[in-house]
Amino acid sequence: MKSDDKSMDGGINMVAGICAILLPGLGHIVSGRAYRGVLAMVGVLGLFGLGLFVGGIDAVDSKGGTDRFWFYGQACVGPIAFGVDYVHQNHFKAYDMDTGMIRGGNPGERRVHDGSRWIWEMPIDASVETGDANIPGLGRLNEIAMLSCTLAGMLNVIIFLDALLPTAYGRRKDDESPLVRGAGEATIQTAIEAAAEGVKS
Amino acid sequence: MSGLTLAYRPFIDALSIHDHWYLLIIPMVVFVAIGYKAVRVSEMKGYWRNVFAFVVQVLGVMAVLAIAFTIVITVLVPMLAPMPG
Repeated sequence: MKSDDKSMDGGINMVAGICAILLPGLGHIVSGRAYRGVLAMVGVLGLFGLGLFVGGIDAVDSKGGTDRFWFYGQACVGPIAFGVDYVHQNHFKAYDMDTGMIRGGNPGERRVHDGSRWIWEMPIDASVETGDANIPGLGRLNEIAMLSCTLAGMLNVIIFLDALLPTAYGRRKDDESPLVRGAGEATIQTAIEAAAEGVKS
Repeated sequence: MSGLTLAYRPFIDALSIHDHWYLLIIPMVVFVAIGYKAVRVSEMKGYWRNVFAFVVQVLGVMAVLAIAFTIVITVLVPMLAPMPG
């Protein structure tokens, strides 16, 4: 029987794929595999949270010299990684008055708004709105923190592919969801049709 | 007071556990195992057994590698290329 849902053609579950991009594990949950989805979510968000816990918000930095290469992997976690990076860039960085470049804080500096933008300077006026710099991760701890967040992104790629292509690795014994069943039937139907075309030609 | 000497804020400031960095491999492997096995086991019945086996295998291999490299660096290299003095 061919699936009426076009999103299932070729065994692709588009709804689950989109949900998996939005939140790790959500793709499995909406396709009826809630237990797998929750565990996948725990794995990805646990790794990402561990990285942030160890290295602080400095572990996710899309504009931090060589750190931005790590961010390419971390971005695979989805909107959460972009949200953390947004907070880091906009609430924990400021402009260096000497170089004009945006950067993290150094010991002794305070984040001060000069009316148009945030800058780093020593506190001189208590009435000026200020913000504290975060303590950056250093050495191996910083590397492990960035690695943990990047591993979360890599793991989420596997989980995303499993949500998008639920039949790619064969049917699982607990895949009783109509969505997953439909995708499986569509894959078998597609294979039969392709084989029939091959015989005719 | 400097902004960098204020109280530790979880998920904002970095931890100061530089002497025990290697222990972080344990929670990292556990989370990788939980996430990876969630989409790789054929049935969820033996899920936690698979997670445990994955963690033990990775940590076991890491420990063996650590012992092997320690032997190479502290025993073999000084034997093959002794430093003067």
